[in-house]
Amino acid sequence: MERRTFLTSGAAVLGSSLIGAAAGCSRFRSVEGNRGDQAWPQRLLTIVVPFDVGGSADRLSRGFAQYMPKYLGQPMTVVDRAGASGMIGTNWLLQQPTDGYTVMMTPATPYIPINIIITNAHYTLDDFTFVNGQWTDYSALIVAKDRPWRTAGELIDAIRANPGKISTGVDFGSVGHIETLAMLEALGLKPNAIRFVTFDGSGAMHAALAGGQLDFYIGQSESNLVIRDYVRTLAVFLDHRVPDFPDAPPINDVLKPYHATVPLIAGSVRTFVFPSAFKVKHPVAYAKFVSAYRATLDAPNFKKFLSDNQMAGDWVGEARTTQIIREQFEVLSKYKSLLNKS
Amino acid sequence: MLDLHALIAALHLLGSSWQPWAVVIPGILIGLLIHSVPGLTTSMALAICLPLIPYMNFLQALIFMTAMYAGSVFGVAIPAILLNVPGSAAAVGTTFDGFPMAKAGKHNEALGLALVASCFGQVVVYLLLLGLAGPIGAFALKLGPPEMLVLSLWGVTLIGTLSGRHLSRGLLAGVLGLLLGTVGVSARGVPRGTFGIDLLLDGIPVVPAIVGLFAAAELFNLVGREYIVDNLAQRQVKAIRILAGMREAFRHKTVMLRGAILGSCIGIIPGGHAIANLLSYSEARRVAKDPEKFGTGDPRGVLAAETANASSEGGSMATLLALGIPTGGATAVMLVAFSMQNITGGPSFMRDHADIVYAVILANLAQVAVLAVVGFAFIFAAGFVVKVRLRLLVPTILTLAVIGSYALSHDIAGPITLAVFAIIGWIMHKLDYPVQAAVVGLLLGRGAEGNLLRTYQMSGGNFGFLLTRPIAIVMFILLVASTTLPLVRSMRTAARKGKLKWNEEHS
Repeated sequence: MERRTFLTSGAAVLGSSLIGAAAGCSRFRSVEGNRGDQAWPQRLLTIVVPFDVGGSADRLSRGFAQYMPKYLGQPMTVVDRAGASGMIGTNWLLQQPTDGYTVMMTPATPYIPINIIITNAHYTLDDFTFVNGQWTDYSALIVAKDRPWRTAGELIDAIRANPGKISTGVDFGSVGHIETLAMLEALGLKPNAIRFVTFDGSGAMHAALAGGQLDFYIGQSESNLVIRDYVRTLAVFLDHRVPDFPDAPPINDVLKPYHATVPLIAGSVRTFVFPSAFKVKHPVAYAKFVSAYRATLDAPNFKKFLSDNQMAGDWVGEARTTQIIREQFEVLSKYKSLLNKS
Repeated sequence: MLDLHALIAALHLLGSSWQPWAVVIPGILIGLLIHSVPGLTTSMALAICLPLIPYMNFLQALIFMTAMYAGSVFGVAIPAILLNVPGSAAAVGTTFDGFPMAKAGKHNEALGLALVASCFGQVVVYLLLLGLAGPIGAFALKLGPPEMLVLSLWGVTLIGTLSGRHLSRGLLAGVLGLLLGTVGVSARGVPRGTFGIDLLLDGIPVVPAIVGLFAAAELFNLVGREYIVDNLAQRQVKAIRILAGMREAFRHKTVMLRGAILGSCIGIIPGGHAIANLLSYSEARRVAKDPEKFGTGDPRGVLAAETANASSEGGSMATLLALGIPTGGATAVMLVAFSMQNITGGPSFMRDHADIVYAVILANLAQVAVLAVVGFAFIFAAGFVVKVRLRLLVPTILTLAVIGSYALSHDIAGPITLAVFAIIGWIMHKLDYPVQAAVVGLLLGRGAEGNLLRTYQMSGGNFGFLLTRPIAIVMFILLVASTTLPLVRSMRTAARKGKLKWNEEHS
C-alpha cells in the first residue's frame, strides 16, 4: 500500500495523462470485497472531466484535487477526456468499474440531456447519480456594442422589420441555440427570420461577436464575460434581475408586450456525477464521498479558491439537482424538433 | 501605440526583483521537453502547471507561462529535424529541409539554424507587439469566417503546388486531406463519415494522424539503414558546428526577416500558426533563384519555416494581451491563469495593466536570450540521437509516438489513428504523392468547411456580401497570384526550352 501510494504520487509529477494510466494499472491490481466500503477510499480517485483543459469544469476539478484530499484521505487527480460535447468522457466514466474511484465533474445540463436527445448517446439519465449542482449558470442576450439597439425590445422590432437580415451566432444544439429558437417561436417568427451562423464552441463565436461580425447572441452569461467590453447585455434568461447586469431585464418581461413567454433553461449545472450503480452497491462509500465533498465546500480555503475564481459552491443536494436536470431534459426534448428547422 | 510611462513602469517591475526570473529556465526546459514526446502539447503542459500559479505572483506566473511557451515554440523543431517527426503542426515546414540536412550529417548546423531562426522570429514578433499590440489585436477581430476560409484555401493550394514533382498529385493529396478533415460533426450539427463511431464525432484526431503520416513515410524509409547519418565521420555532436549553423543563419537575413514578418501577420488569424510555417517556406522557395535546392537540405528552408513558426505563435499573444481573447489552446490556459490571479482579460486589461502587458513582452524578449543559451545546451544533448543505431532508434520513436498518441486521446483511438495513417502515409510515399499536402489539408479541412458554411450563413445567400469583405478579396487575389505566377513562369521556361530544342532539331 505504501509503495503504491508512493508510485502514484511520483507519477503525479509526470502529468495528468500519465497518472490516468497509473491509476488504471493500480485498478487492475486491487481486488476489493464488500467489506471494503468501510475502508473506502483506499487509493487515488480520478476526476474525469469530459471537456478540455482550461474549461470551467476542469478548473473547478483542479480546485477539488487540491483541497478535497484532506477530507477524503486519498489524493485526487484530474483527467480531461474531451470530445463530442462531453459524450466521450461520459461514456468512459460508464466503462469504469463502479467502485467510486472514478467520478466525473461536468456541466451535467445541458450536456448529458443534449448527448441523449441530439447526439444519440447510449445512456439515459437513470445511469447517473448527480451529487450536487453546486454552480449554475444562466443565459443572457447580448448585442455587439456598435449596433444601434439599446433594449431587447428594439432588437426584436428590428428582427420583425427586417426578416432574414439580422445575424446571430450559435453553438449548434446548445442551450443558447434552443433559447433563440424558442424566443422566435414565441414571437410567432419563423427560424429563417434571422441568420443563424453555426460555430464549433464559443471561442470563435465570441471573437466574431466582439469583431462585429455578428449582430446578437444568446448564451451563457459567464462565458460572455470574456467579451463584456465589446457587447451590451440586453436581457437575462432568469425570472429576476441580477446585480451583474443591473440594466438587463428578465427576458419574459421584455416579451410581455408581445404576449409571449419562453421557458427559462438553466445553463450549465456543474456537479460531480457517479454511475448510479456505485451508490446502489456501495452506499457507505458514497456517503463518505458526499461528506468529504461537503466538508470541502465548507472549508475556508476552498471557499476562497471558489471566490477567487468566480465560481460557486452551493449545496442543493442530490434530489433537487436530479429534479432540475430532469426538468431541463423535458424542455430540451420539447424543442428538439425546432433545431432542424434553423 | 507605445506608452512610455507604462514601459518605464514595466522595466521597473522587471528589474525590481530577481524572483520573477527564477522561473524562466525551468519554464523553458519544460517547454523544450514537452515536445520530445510527439503528441504532448503546450496547452497540456500549461494546464498541468496551473495549480502552481496561485503560489506565484502575477508577473512570475506570466513569465513562467511565457517561458514555457517560448521553449515549446522551439522545442517542436528538434524532433522535426532529427527524426522527421514534427512536434506539432507548426513544425511541419521545418521537416522539409531540416531532416534532409540531418541525414546528410548536418544535424548540428540544422539545429543551430533552427535555434537562431526561432529566437529571431520571437524577437521580431515581440518587438512588433511592443509597438502595436493594440492595433494588431483590433485588426485581428476584423478577420472573420471569409478571411479564414481564404487563408485555408491558400495553405492547401500552396502546399499542393509546391510539394512534390507533380502539381496534380500535390493538389489531389491536399484535397484528400481536406476531405478527411471534414469527418465528424459539422458546425451545422450533422455527423459525416463517422460510421457510427462516437470517437469520430470530433473528427480524425489530427496529431496522431500527422505523426502517423510523417513518421511512417520516413521511418519505414529508414529501415535498412544503419544510422540517420550514413557517414561515420559526420556522425558527431560538435558545439562548434552548432555555432557554425547559428552563424550561417545570419547570412540569410532576408529569408529570416521575410519569414518572421509573414509569420507575425498570419499568426494573428486564428488557426494561422499551423499555416504560417508552410506559407513562409513556400514563399522562400518561390522567390529563390534555385528553388530545386529546397527539400534537399537547404538552410534557407529551415530558416523560413522556423522564423515563421516562432513569430506566428506571438501573433496569438497579441489578441490575448490586447483583447483578452484567446485564439488558441495555450493562450486559453493563460487566460485562466489571469483569472486565478483575479485579473480578467479583455481590453480593460490592456488599459488598466499596460505595464504588465509591456513587462510580459519585455520578459519575452529577455527570454529569447535565455532560450539561445538553454536551447544550445539542449540541442547539444539532443544531437546525440544521431549516434544511436536506427534499429534501436526507429522502434523507440514509434513507441514514443504511440505513447504520445495514447496520452493525447487517453485511449486506443490515438494509436489506431496513428497506425491507419502510417499505412496511408506509406502508400502515398510509394506512389509519389506528397504526404505533406495531405497533412496540411487534414489540418485545415475542418476549419475551411466550417468557415465556408459560416460565410454562406452570414451572407444570407447573397453574393454581394463578399464585396463588403475587402481583406478577403485582397487575400484571394494574393492566393491566385502566388500560385499561378510561378506556374506561368515555369511553363514559360519549359516552353522556351522546348522551343530551343525544337530550333536545334530543325535547324
